[in-house]
Amino acid sequence: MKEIVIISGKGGTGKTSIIASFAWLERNDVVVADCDVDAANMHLLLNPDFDYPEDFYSGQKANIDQIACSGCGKCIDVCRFDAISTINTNYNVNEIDCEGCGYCAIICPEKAIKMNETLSGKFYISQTRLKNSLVHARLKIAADNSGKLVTKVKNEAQKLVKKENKTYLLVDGAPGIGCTVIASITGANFVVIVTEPTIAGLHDMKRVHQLIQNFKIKAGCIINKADLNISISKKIKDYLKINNIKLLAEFPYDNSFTEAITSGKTIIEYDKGEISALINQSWEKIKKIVL
Amino acid sequence: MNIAIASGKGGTGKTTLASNLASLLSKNTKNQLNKKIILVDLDVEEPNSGLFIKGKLTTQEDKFRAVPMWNNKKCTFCEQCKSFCNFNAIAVLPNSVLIFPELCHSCFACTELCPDDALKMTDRKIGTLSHYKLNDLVFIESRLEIGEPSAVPLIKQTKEYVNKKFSGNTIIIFDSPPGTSCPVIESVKNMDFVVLVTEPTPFGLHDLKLAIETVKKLNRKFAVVINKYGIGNNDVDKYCEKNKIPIIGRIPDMKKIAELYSRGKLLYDEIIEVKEEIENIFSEVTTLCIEN
Amino acid sequence: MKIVFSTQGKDWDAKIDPRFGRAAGFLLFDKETGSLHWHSNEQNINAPHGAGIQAGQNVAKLGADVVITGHVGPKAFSTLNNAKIKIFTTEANITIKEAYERFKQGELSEMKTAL
Repeated sequence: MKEIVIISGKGGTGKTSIIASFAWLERNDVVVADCDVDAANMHLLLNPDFDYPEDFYSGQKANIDQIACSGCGKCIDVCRFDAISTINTNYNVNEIDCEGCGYCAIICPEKAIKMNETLSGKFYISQTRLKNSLVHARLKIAADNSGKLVTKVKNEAQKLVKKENKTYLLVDGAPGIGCTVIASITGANFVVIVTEPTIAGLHDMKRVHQLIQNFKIKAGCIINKADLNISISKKIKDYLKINNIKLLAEFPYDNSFTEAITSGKTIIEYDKGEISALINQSWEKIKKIVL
Repeated sequence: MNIAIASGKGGTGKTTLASNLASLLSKNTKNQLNKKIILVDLDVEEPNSGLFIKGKLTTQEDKFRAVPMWNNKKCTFCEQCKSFCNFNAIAVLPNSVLIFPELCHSCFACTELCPDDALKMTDRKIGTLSHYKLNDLVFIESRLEIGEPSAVPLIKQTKEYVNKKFSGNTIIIFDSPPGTSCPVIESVKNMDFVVLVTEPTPFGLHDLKLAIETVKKLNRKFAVVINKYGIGNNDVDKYCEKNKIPIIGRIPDMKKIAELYSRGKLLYDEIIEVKEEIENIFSEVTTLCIEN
Repeated sequence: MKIVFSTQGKDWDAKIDPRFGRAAGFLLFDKETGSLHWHSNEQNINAPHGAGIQAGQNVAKLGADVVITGHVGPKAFSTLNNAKIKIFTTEANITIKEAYERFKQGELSEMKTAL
């Protein structure tokens, strides 16, 4: 199994569109995992059937039994997250602020506080319109622990690759550099950073690259909208060279990205010209590196 | 007045709007407003506002969170700390106790409940807060340490810093992280107003709906700005109209905007259309804020 | 010396389990007595998180000096390392017996850092 994780640091660089195209090119030998669980978009291009939904629980929230509660206030004293407050004589837990540490439950002399497993979201194992498998998830609004749901999506996808005897696992990674990205890239054979030639794109790419370096994973880079700013494209390429990151491709700015999404298609299906050819070439390059 | 600029999808133009709006307001303070203008970058994982606002650094502070440290001399290996920890951050071995700071949520249960006083909280650096001044604009940026898993404590501490440092007559623009999970919740939860920036594409609309659900759950006043208007389709317009969600601005898709953005340049001095749109957005926000 | 193997089965002919934290079980070989005992790792197989740390603690409690497995994640590594347990890695598709032979011959590589 070859696990290829595609991230961007900065949002809006075209990552999901590119991954969907790779998935189309390799549709007979790939499982796709959408680890961008906070704002999952892959399903908008691949039309999964949401066939196998499973509830995902992670983390806990405190719940106070009003009848058992004696109003001693010890729970408020120990809560570091200001999640407990009183309204009249009722002690209430604000679920949004509750971190699920359970300190209040331990300390309550009446044992009036129970910690309940939180339903954080749902994950799905779907068949897409490309006739391959997509593992994806929907995080509930204001849910935390999205690193755990990412890990769950990845683990299920890895199992599926083995079960279906496929070669590639394509992972749509989370943006940023926090726990969700860390969970996305853990265990990858190769990480592809999709960036754009803007000051912000370069800045964010450097930060996410530092994270990848900590994990000692081989990395490559695709510069999207490369002709938007030639001088910054050059700065990016210089950075790649110094840091031993393989330049996989430079895509010129192309309306196909937006037009394809708007038509609900992958770029490869939508455009038969230059950009599709470039995407194809970059995928072949990636395969050569991982195999 | 505290205004958050947020979005569901990343890359829609939050930082563009936040930095241009704050800068423009600060230029207008002498003429019209009598308020202190502050821009705060809460996208601590990838803070970008500072690329557009180049002020003079006035102070810089390291930010920390507390994690436990083990004292081998006092420990009796009762293993209670491990049972108190709900995050598996403590491992008890035959001759030592190992703490995993990256799993710790700083709840203090283990240190305060240890019967032998063998655990003490110690500071772990989570990031750096930088305070800049550019003419009449104050700019606060916080930057998360690479490898630190959670943005939430740093976002919380940044808001506390701003709250403590500035009072009274202020307009504070908060550039928020993208998405709908805990960093966004922490950023947006007590804002007077949330501006949701989207793009008129299926991805934009899909994520906007999630963002709207989020701000509604937090009971915040909000409105939508459509950026890169002209690409995609008009489903966002239709959706907002159908659901009576105010669209307070439409920034056009222009190559010139993309080009200026790429170079780290603010837009309003170069594109009059954008300047007017941003001023309009602000005036709509103030109107909606007063409304019930 | 006590050696722990992550295993898919219960005796010398069982295959090495390439995973550590979510291994099916562990075989503890006591070189002094020559005994081989199997310990289940069932509680950790489905644990959503912290499996490696927990397995590391369990193995340390068994008094292991050496762990022979396929792969160990960074947190499990810290746990074993902290307990002064040496970690040697091997390929998955060999028996416990074969793995031990290779260990004795010095053919297995020791994992000295987390990555």
